[in-house]
Amino acid sequence: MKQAQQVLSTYAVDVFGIASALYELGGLIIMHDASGCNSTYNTHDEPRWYDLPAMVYISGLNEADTIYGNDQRLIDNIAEVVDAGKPTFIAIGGSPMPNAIGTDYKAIAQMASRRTGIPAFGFRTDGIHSYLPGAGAAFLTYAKEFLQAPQKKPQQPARRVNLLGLTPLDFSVVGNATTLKNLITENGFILQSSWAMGESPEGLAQAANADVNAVVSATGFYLAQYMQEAYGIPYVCGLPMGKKGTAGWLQALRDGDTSYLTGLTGKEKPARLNRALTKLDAWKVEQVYDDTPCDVLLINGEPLQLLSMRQFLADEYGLHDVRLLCPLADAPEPLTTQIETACSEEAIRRECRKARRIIADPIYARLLPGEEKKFLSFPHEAYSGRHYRDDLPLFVGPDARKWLDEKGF
Amino acid sequence: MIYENEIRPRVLIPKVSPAGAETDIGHASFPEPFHIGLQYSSPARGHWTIAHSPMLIPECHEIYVCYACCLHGVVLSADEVPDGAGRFSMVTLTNENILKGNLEEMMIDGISDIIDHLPERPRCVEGFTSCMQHFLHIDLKLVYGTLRKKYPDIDFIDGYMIPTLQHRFSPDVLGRRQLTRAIQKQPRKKAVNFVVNYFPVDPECELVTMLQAGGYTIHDFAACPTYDEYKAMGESIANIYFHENARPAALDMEKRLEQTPLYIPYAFCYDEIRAHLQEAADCLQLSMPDTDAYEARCEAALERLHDEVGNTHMSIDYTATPRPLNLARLLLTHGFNVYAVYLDTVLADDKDDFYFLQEHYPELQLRSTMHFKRSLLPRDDTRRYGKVLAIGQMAAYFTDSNYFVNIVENSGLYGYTGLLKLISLTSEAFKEEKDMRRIVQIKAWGCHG
Amino acid sequence: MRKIAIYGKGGIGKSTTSANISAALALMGKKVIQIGCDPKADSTLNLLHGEPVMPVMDYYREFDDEPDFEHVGREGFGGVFCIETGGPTPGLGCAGRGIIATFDLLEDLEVFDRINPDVVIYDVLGDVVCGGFAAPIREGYANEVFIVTSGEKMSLYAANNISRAVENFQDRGYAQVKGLILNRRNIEDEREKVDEFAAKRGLPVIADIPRSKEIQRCEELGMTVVEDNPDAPLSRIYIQLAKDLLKEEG
Repeated sequence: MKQAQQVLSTYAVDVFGIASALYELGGLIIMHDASGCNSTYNTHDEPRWYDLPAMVYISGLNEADTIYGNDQRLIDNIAEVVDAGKPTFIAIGGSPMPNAIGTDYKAIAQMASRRTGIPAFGFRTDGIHSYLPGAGAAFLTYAKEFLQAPQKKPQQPARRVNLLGLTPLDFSVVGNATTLKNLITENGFILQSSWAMGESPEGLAQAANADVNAVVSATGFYLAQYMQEAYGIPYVCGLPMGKKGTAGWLQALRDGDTSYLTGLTGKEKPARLNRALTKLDAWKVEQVYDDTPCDVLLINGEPLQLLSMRQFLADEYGLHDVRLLCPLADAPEPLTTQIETACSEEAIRRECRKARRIIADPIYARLLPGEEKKFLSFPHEAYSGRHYRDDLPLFVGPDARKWLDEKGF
Repeated sequence: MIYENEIRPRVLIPKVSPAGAETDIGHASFPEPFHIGLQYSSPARGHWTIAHSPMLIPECHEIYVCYACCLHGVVLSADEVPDGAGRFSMVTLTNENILKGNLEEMMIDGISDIIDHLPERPRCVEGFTSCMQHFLHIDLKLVYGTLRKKYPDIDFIDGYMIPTLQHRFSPDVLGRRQLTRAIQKQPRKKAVNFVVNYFPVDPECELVTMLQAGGYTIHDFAACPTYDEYKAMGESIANIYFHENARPAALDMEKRLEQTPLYIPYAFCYDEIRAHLQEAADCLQLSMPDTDAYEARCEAALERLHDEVGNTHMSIDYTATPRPLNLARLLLTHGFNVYAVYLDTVLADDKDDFYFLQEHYPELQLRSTMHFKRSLLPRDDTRRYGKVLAIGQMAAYFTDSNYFVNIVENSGLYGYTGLLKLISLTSEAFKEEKDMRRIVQIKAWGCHG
Repeated sequence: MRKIAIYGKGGIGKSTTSANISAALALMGKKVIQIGCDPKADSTLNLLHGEPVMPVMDYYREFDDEPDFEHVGREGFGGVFCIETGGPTPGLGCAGRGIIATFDLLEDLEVFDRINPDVVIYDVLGDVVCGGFAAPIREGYANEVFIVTSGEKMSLYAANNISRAVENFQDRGYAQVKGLILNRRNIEDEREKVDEFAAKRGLPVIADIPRSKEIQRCEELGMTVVEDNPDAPLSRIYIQLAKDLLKEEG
């Protein structure tokens, strides 16, 4: 039974990805769902919730509205908040119930925008797909609305860098985002903008002036492809991990080398975002993989962490027998060509049995009771939320091996 | 290590007026003082959820059959209590199941699969269906009927996580009722139950003493050490309940098990406490304690507390007690400076207190916890008023006070003894700071799985 | 690319009308896609000589996977590309979701780009139900709506409901009703009744299709009247309707 999960958790879903991506940007973000259903995001996926006020709300969907398809109450409530809180945009995404009745978010956004006079984005989310296309769609849609035409063409060697795909879901709030920014500014680059932690909307609007885009998670990939197509800005996918990895990443940025780590050319067709949000059988992908045992298995929902860490293990530890497993089948396809995908508990357990060591979120260690020692804890906020945040490492930068060494890897 | 710049980046926070999210009680309407549109949810999370409450049934395994979006919350919430994850599994719904219309089949197969692979056979399984199954009206009788036939040694409870489709009952109310569904009728004994409270009733309270003196065995739902003890609730002659939300559970048990429901709600004002104890005494032929003596002790304790806290600003929230207005009434009539009560609706039990306060303390502020403005209004009472003494986690968070009484849903405090203990906790809270940030964010305070 | 949605009361002849329009357009050399948006999945039967195409949702149920381009539909008479959304097992699941899921798939398979049709006809289920009802007229799908009706009271009642429902979607930027197609049932004063209704709603009656045994005879053969004999008087009416539909745009 592929759908049964005895011990595993689920990843943050699409609509949480939207909220996380846009959290700091002064917009009104609405999850169209029942009262109380927002506490999942607030509790487990949003470390900024306690300290940083934001207009992220739940619509309080009820049965009558579902049955009658009454969007008017929602529009009225949106108008009330816009009037008081003066957000600069509205973003609305949905959950399983509105999805089942075919709620048209584009139409709702259009009505809300007409009513309030500010831009509104409707996201076709269903609470079934993952945060990767959710946050991806949020960044892309926001950019299409607010990016200003560049004053300069991209230069090489590159100096001005955008960081694309920064959310606490992939980086938590333990200094990874700060380290990435410092690496940029301390190595002769100018940090043009960061999407979207610690950045102002004004800063984001100028992002098209960058010379290169550093895609630091799959959530930034869609935007990178768009900016490549619209402004000719090259992108580099991956994370700086370890001394060699950091040097390689910085050099790739300077050169605008899209092939770095991923082998992409930059000429690929845009990844299918809508497809990622609507694909019906993303959850049950379960290819049969090679049965050969391997030394290390990396499990992570975010493909760039996987690719970067593989490189890092080779560079710093001389490990080459490393397999990569992504449990999210809705990750952008161009980034997963070197990665195995398995979603069901049984399939992931099978893969774990083949490996001598596994680096993954600690929840995965429950797959093999009695063999917990095989697993090295690498918590992923998008998977286990705040639960293991204390154990969440600083995993980027030249000193990235510190946390692995401390764990006795 | 948390980076302050990452959780508190420099962002422009909109300034809003409190209008709509706060009102003085003099101008408030009963029972809904606020119009709630888009909803905020506070990071103070000590109150319990339906992921936690089934853990009070020993040897019960929870299986949620829902979409990823709903599962993500419950699985991680369950995971936060010791061995919570070991008592929790799930079956993930997808769009495919709606398109195929095989929701019943996948639920039976999924739950079976999990039971077959559990390291130990659970004695009870509470399955949870979500909004979707009910929107599409699946045949739950068929599902659980099949499961019961397949696993005759397991008690199955049909649990519901259907916030979109709440008709008569909120998820909490329905959840409490379902928690009693595996209790079956047994030969009668001189015993009573406490249902369905999330915290064991304080064994030192006079109600417990009265019952014990009357020769009653007490089965406290929240303190069942074994599954057999839980099942033994079927032998009781009465169900005592303290929270409005447990009423459908008690009424359901009356119908199914012929147990007398006895509602003696939490209260803080003496006349009410006395009346409830009297009701219990009449119903179960118990002797009353010396209420005058208790009241004198309470008076003295309140006086001492007042000497300590003086005119300190005090606030109360609805997660600390289901009777926030009754508590406010007691404190205000004893000269305490209660200035704000955090709640979103006024429960029926607090109706008289609402009108009393409206008449005598019209300036008392009612503050919504979920109104959209709540997230934007500054949490600066401590800076405005100096020290704020809060009763409840939400009151502490919203007033930004480390001086707070950390109780959730009365935390088992009952009667005069409960009041005396609350007074003493309040005195402690006034004197000693707590780590508010850490405490209030823990889900389901006191749930130990 | 013209994208037309045909609505109307259940059993009023939407599928017959749609199939004959498609056939007529095909005869005029147009490339047509007809999409049956109804769990009954009988919209395109008469374009396929009675050999039905496997509905997308049925495929999904049977093979546990989405169909690829080769299996999403099939060419019928005159090269009309026939697609049926189908639906879940009757009594279970959600039909509206089936329609929406099929549209997602068509988009993903880039069906329109690959076939590059001149006209897409959406033959939509008869009754106003869930979000699936409006899916064919959302932004990016059909941009004009025609309602098939007879002069019967219940048919006009349904037409009225549909046209009001569609009108309500105006603020969402959805397609609007462009006209009525009278499919006669031979009741008394039929034309007058329909004209009166049309005037009330401010809609033109763009075709007047007589009741004819020919339709039934051809259906027995699994074809449209237009295919059977393009020169028959009834076929000429459908062909004229197809021409008028194309003209409508201007």
